Amino acid sequence: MKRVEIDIAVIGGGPAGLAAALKARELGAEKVLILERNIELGGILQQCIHDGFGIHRFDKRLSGTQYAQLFIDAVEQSDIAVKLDTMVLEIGADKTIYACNKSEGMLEINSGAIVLAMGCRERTASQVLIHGDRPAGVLTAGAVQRYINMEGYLPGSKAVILGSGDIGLIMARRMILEGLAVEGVYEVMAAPGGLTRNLVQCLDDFEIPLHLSTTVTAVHGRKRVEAVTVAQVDGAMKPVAGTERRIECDLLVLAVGLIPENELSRAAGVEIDPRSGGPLLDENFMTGVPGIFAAGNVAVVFDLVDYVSASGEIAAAGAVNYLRGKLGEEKSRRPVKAGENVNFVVPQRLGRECGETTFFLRVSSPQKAATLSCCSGKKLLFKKRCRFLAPPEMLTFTADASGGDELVIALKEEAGRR
Amino acid sequence: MIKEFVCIVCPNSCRLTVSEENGEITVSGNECNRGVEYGLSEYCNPRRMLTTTVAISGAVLPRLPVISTAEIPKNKLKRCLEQLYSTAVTAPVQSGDIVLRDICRTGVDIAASRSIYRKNDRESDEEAGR
Amino acid sequence: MRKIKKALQKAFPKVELSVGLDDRGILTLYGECASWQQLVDIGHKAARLPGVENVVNELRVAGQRIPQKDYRPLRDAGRSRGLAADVDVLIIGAGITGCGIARELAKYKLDILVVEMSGDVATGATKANNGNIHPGHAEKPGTLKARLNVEGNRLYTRWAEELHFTLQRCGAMGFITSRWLWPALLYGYIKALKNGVEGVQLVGGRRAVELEPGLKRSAIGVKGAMWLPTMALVEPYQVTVALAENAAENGVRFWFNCTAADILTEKGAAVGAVTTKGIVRSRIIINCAGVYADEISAMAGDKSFTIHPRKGVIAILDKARSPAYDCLCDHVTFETVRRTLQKSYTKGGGMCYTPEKNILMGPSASESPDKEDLSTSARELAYAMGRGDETIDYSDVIRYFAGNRPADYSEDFIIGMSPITAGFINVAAIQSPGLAAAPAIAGKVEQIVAAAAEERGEPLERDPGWEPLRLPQPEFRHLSRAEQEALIRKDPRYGRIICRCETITEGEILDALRSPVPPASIDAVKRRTRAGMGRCQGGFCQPRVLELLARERGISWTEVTLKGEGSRILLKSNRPRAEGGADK
Repeated sequence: MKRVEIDIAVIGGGPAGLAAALKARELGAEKVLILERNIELGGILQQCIHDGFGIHRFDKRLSGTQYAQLFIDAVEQSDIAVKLDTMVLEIGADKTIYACNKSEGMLEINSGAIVLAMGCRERTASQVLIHGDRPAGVLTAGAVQRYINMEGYLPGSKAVILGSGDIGLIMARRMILEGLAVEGVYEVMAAPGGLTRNLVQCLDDFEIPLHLSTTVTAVHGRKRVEAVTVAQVDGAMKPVAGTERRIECDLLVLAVGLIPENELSRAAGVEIDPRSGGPLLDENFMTGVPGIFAAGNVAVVFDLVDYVSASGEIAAAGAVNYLRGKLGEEKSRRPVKAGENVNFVVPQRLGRECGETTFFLRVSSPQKAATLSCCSGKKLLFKKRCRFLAPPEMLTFTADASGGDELVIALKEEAGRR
Repeated sequence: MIKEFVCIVCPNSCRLTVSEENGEITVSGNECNRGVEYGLSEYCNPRRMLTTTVAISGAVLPRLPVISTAEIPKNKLKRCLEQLYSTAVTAPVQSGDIVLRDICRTGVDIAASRSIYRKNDRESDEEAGR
Repeated sequence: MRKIKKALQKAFPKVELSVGLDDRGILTLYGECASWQQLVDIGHKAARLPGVENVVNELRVAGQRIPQKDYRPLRDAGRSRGLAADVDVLIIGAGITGCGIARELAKYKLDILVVEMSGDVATGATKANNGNIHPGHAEKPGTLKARLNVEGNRLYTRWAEELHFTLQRCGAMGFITSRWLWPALLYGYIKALKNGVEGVQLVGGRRAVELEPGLKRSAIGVKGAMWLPTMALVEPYQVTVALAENAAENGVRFWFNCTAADILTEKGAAVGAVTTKGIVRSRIIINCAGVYADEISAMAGDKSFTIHPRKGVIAILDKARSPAYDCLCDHVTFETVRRTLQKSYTKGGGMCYTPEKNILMGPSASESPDKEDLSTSARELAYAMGRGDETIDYSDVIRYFAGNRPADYSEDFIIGMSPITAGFINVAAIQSPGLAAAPAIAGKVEQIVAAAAEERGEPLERDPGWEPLRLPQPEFRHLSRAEQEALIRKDPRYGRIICRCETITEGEILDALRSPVPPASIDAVKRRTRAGMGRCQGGFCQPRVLELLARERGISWTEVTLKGEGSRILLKSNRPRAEGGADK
């Protein structure tokens, strides 16, 4: 078995892993290695050919592929080691990584620190309790995106899309441009999940109807999809009897949510936050296992790739400091609590002297205008006004959160404002 | 003529009404001035970025993603796509390489939005020589 | 006969019935009833009446069209193709039963052909089975089911050794937490003894916890248990694939997408069949057609039973939910005893797990007239999910699916040479415990075929070249790191992981694609290798499996199907003009 000694191992060569590796090298880590299961770097961005990436980071509207290319070029120009077509099979709590590929066989990688950047997977038809038949023609949005954009094939001719998040909307436009008919986009929630820009440019531009509070309940067709049944849902998301409608189509595209892929993390002993779906993290994006960090969508599903890259850099900085012994072995960490209208916050716990810390959070329900507050006991650490808050959009801020006890982050409705 | 738009400049999503009377165009429903600008451009000359793929041969993948170097008039998108769909390129390609110049006389170029290598010869040998 | 009619009219006063009874005790029901469930209930009631061996149910349901397969066009198409094969044995159906029989008969000098209407082995009831190799304690003593179950369970050890499929003798335990339930255990114990179940024991609470330490963890105060050490687990499709592959290696031919549309007879003896691939001549025809077995038997002039499909829905959970017990544990309570005493045919199953440690919930059990209806509903899933403990949540579910049990009205296996058509052997109504009984069923059919040959004066001759062993294929996920390293060194294709959720390598998928009975669809690859069986359900690996499948079979990407004919995944290339119309 081939043994590899490395300072920082980055698991996953998507946007989080690329940013983490570059940052770690920039901060002086000597031997940085990216382990990527695909045959090329870039992760899921390689199938995101639409524009709108990098607005915060580069002040440009790049395509996903362009965004990835900037990082890939930088990695290729650096001395960061990359192992492609390499699958990590196991991470031990002692940070030993077992991975394999065709050319080197089994690898045992001993790493000073690890950055987990495996990304996420899509929820499937069974996970959203769609019933009826199980024919060909039911695919997740990501699979459709891959088939059309990378493999060059059309998996249907008339599609129904479930889920109005940006992924669902982008795929609606993609399929129209590829000559498919899109019967409509269905959304179980009462409000659309995607940005207004995408509602306008992906749906309105092509006169694709959006049906809110409506879901797909059944698929029909024993071999290939022939139709689906949609039904309106009540306040408890349960289909309302009598509202069923049968729609002829040959493709059902599911854009119904993402799940962080933490199977490796769990096996390494990393504790998972049931609300974020990712590891419990501290201000350095370090997990509960010292020396193992998490970044990108494996940490929490971000809405913007800019934040994914940012999280990679936070984790990389933490990993470099860990290697240098600068991260004290803190026994007790202060919890960060989700207060009023906050669904979850990352990081979930902080060291005593955490300093400037970047927080990422999502709201529980939409708010037109609210004041974000970050308090330690009675002390207000940070405050800002926010407008047009919605659960699909991530909110981020940076504040010095050193000292004190537990933190509470809340969003209080602004009285008298609309 | 009266047209309605949803403004996408900020998350406020104002519902704009653009009306034209005797050659004079007015925008209403906007909460800020940026809405006027958006409403006018959507009414007079709506433009969109174009992203799609073209066929590529000799590469690790059969499709190359491309992007317009600027926004293209909305009413020309279809014609541009037609042209792109009969375009084929050969690997290798660098991100930013121009695939089509001045597409459909829009003055806009179409560029590769990623770099793509030639198919690894070793890999194809292995598949062929099994 | 009058008695029978009277009894039925008393039980179903509102139904207009007429009956016919032949000298074999086959009761045929005619008339019209109110619902499909009532139709099934009448059939069950009739089958339990004295003097009735089995029931042909020709009842109609008022206002409901019962789907019927139209064999005419298939028959015409098959006839027009002329003679396609002349064999010694024709087996109709490639489920566990048909493949088991094919494998056992392959030891003789016989030309054997298996025809299967779908595109792969194990696509009917077999694939939707939960993989339990029951000990045989639950069957009614004296039935064919009871005898073949106990015998089949024992024979599985040999099958597993020869064919290299996974067989886990996990054992099963019915435990009680109230002393008042000892009589229930005792009743079960006596039944198990009557059936000849090996190793069955009644044990006290302390011994039960020793046998299953998981019971200590759950701290529920076990008072006693019935211990069934022979309970085992398999993957039903893995067993079937192993049988088919071994059969094929010994010369058995498999024709897929081939429906039997008629049975040809001459002077009361079977001489062949019309299939959609042409006429097949054969003097021995073995009917293993699952839910269609009644229709095939009728084609042979032997209308002696009716199959009423009983649908079962099973939910499979993420491996992250590991089973609480090593053996299959069943908490016997007053509630479960009450349910058992209800004598319902629609109890369904409970909670168990697969050899790969995925928990299975269900199956449910519901009667439905359509033999090919494999749809699921919220109600059926809720039933399956409701049979476990309260810690199980819908969010753990990665997939649910349905299968149709081929139930008849006697609710026993039908295995035997037709008294009407010589050479035509029914192996029908093989529902639970059909998987467990499969080796015994195959053995029994082997005897029937041998006896028939003897009678004809052409006794079966052993094939000296018969190879009972099927070589094991590597399963990367189960190897130690050092073994994995050695395997990749030997063949680098085992070093590329295609299915990340289940850790399935390119090498394993290629092994399957180059096997004696190669998979022809994405689902067929999944059943052989587990690629796409995990939590992402093929979201990531399907394009890679599709690529390998297309390459190995020499077909274009757009010809690859999910589950056989009519289920293409990709419809066309999206740049035909730029690519000169060619698919890659």
